[in-house]
Amino acid sequence: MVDNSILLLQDISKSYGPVKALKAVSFAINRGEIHAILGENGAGKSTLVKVIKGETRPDAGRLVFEGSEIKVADPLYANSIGITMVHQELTIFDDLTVAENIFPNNVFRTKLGLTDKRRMRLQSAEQLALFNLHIDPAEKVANLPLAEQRIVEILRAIALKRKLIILDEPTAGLNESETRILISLVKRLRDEGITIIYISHRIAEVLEISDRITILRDGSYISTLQAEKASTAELIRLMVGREVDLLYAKKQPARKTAGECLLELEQVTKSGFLRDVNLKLYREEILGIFGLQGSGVEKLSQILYGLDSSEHGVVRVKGRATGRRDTDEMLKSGFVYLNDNRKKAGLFLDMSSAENMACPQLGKLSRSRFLNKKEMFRYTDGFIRKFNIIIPSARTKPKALSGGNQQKLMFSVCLGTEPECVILNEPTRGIDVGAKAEIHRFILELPRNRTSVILFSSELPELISLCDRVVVLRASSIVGELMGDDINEEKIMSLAAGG
Amino acid sequence: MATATTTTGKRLKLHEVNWGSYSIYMVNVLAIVLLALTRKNFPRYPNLYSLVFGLSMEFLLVLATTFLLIMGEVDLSIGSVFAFAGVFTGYLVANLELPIWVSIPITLCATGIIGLINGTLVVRLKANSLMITIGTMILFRGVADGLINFLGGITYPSEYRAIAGFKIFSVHFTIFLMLAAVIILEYLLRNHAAFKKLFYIGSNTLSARLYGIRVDRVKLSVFAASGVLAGLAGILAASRSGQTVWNTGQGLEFKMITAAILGGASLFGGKGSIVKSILGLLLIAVILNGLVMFNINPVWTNVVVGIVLIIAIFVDTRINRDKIEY
Amino acid sequence: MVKVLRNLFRSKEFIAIFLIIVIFLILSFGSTTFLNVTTFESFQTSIAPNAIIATGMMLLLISGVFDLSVGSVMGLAGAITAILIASRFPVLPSILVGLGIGLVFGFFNGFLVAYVGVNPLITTLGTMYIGRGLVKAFMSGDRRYGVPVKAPEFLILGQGKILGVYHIFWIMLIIVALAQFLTLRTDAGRKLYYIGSNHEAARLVGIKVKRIRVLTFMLCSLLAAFTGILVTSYFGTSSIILGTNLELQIIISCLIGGASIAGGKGLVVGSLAGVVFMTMVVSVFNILEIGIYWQNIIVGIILVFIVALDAYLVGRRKKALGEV
Repeated sequence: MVDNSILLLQDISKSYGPVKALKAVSFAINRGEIHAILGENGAGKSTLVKVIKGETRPDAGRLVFEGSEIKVADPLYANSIGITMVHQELTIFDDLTVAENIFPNNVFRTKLGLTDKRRMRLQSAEQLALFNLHIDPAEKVANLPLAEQRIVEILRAIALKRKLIILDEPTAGLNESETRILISLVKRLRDEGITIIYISHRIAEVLEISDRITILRDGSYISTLQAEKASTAELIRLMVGREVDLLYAKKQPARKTAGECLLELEQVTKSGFLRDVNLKLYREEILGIFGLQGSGVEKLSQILYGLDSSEHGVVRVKGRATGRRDTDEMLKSGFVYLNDNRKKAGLFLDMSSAENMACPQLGKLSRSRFLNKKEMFRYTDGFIRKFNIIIPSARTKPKALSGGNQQKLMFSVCLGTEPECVILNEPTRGIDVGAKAEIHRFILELPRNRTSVILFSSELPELISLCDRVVVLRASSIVGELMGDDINEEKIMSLAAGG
Repeated sequence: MATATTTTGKRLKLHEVNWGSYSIYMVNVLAIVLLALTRKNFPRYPNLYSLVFGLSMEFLLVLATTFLLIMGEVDLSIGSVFAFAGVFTGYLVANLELPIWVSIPITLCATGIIGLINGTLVVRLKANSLMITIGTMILFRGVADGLINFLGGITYPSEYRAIAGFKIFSVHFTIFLMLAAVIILEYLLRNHAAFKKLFYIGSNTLSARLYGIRVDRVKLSVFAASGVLAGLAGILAASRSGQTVWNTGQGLEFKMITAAILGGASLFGGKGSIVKSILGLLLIAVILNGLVMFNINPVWTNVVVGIVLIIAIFVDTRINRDKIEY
Repeated sequence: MVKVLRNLFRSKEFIAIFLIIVIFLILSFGSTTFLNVTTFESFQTSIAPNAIIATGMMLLLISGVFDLSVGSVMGLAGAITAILIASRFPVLPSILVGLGIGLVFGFFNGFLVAYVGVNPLITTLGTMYIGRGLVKAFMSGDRRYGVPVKAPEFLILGQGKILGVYHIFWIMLIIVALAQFLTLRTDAGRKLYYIGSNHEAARLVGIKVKRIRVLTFMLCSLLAAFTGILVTSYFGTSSIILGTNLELQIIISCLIGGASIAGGKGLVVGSLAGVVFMTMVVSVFNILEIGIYWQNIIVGIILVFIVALDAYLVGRRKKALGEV
């Protein structure tokens, strides 16, 4: 059998503290194919990609590229041997032209050794024409729409003669026609002999574009399928797996909602993000909201809590229409917000856990505005016990905790305010399975204690096992609302990805 | 045993002791002892008194700087506002012949408004306070100098000059003011809810906002307060010097930032202490006094402060920088 | 072609040049004292030094940083060189020492910013203080009012003319043209734009960001030192206030000329246009007999305005990407 592999992964393992992100993953990527990697959040896709592109060194295992083992974990080294990644956050040079972005290394020189801009422009035009793209090489990249910026970055990877290009959610935020263009570009790349690792949540897209598909689940390699022989159902089954049911708390029978509407959005619009969104949150329910990247979910989350305002439409908090709200009003009205990225916001990493807990409760934990330190510690200890946070003392700073415990701490900060509604954003992102299960149990408890939940999550099993209702967003609008048995992966994904 | 394996794998104990936070005390003691042993003029009462008195003229500025740094902001215009306030009050008293107890509040209102202007630009436009306040620094330096030029080289009226000289038990009142302010404000900083907000804002502004802190409002207030404090300091200094002085206050903003960073505050926000900032100011004063004691030309002052600043921000960056910015 | 013209009309440089022409015309026709030989002379001597330093500053701004110590370096280099020559040191080594001071300051600044990661504003403010302090220290006592230099080989540098135009002006033209050419057409020069636009991405495509930063800082300070020596030569004496408060005027010139604090933008010729603009503004002030204090006030307002505008634009961009 001819070994056609360009990249071999052998027993790659990687842990971050107690979290095993990758467990002895082994498979091969063949030369000149489009190889998709599928998996739920936390399956290990991003860690795997980091290993391949040299950003992280695996704890165990080997990476063999074109026959020789990669011993150095450095993105620059990976670049030099031919591996590159086109990130979601672009690494483009905004202020420069398309041509300058495609050829950042000075490859075109005149006889005197100067930059030959004319040839650079011509070559860029050639490349663009080769892939049937109508982009002006002299245009500043900042002026291009997102799709074209992505394309420019891909063309740079080609221009630099990369042999293996990793594309991470390349169609996120693109509309139908832009997606088409990108997909055909990727296929042309494959035809030119470049190997592509394609990461995407959009199963239909993956089926259309890939040659082979590898599925990861919970850090383990599950299987590799030929795309033409695979079906959506089979892929989802492999991604989600039967065992996972046991991990998630049993779905409770649908609750009867108390009827009172806590939060309502009516025809809320913000150009570029949301269009005529209508949404209602009732008492004692867990409402899930799902949308792929670029569908507007992030903006919706911000607008719900008053972090941003809409251009048109009405937001009603407990029945009363509100003008410009800010977060302190929402907090006073009984709402609280759990941020999706605890490293960016949601915790004060350099302050003690007790101080973290105290932040939204400064009024309650002080006597005539002077902080009652004893009360603060007692309050914090209460939550440490309640949520089983593994931490030496309330004085410890969150930066010293593991991801799962940090998340639980953030949870505590929010729930300590005894809110009537929590807006949760990716509450179990990046934490180990055990902590995840615990947090899910806490979430299910909430409606019983008169707290409603709005759950923004990109993990379908999470939404399915926790929510009473799920609302799906696609391309700035709400495209569907599911209840009861209708809440399942197939229906949600088909609404979100457009079939 | 409930120990956490941290994400970095380090054990918690060593990190819980912040050795660095005591260093300013130790360095001060070191410097003072060294100087006392080597120069017999140093520990003499007149010299020490003059050192502390000088401190009491400037401490208000380091208060403002500390509060702003805790939030992750700076106000480089305090030196210019300092100069402006001194001359402006002189103008009100001497030229407009307003009584001193009217002139001072007017000036403080003006400087408070200057602070608000700085704050508004920083808050509304999310502009970098470092850059914006350089602009206002130049602006108000121009205003102050223009005012001095307009007034000519006058001596201030006696009622103005009397303020700084006011003594209680033959000790200038500003020294008492300093001691009282330091103790009270440090206590408030550690224990009062409103002051705690400064730390939250500096540690993670977005988190502070998520949990209901009105970041914009707090920042505006502190910038306004910075204006008022700088104004007050300027009035006291002008009163002490008794006449219009060119280029007064120039370089003070850097001295204050250096003092605060020596005292543990960070350009990246989230840290700071009033007591330690004052000690940082003291250290600088001791060093400069030492230069005088060793008969080094006072022109070297700027160089020394500059070097101390560079060292301070070097250390600050090494300890507190999160990501690569340049 | 149409696109090139359209981009041209929109660019900041064009607006600056346009304004210059307008002001020039107003001044020429509006004032009898404007258009004569003396003015032409003083124009050279006020534009040239600023333009040379602005070139160095522009290179830094393109790469996303700046240097507030250039004024101090200018003064220090001029002072030290003058003192050495007046103390009977040979001319050439003295000049080399002066230039060396520029290199040392530049290296120091660059190292702190690029390798340690300190904020360039505070760093260069610190070195500005140190530099200014050193000038005062060296120019103390008898030297307070200046150190006159008589050596003709030295004076010819700043006071000599070719074709009726001062050396420094020709040198300025050469430096500006060279720098513009380098940033437009050579690899090394263009890398500055990449670094300024996205230094992370620049690193990932193999550009040695840290090394280039240090070199750029060194070049900027070198130019400042060089200018200081030339100006000292022109006046025939060193001055304790040479270069004071120059840095902000230079930065404003560059910003007007198309640079952005965020980096990645601007042409070297734009900085020349900015310097000319600022010089003309100062002339207007002088003709209208606006005092120096008002000038400072206006400079301060302009700076605040430019920074605020810059911040506003960056904020708008962030909001468009969905950030709060």
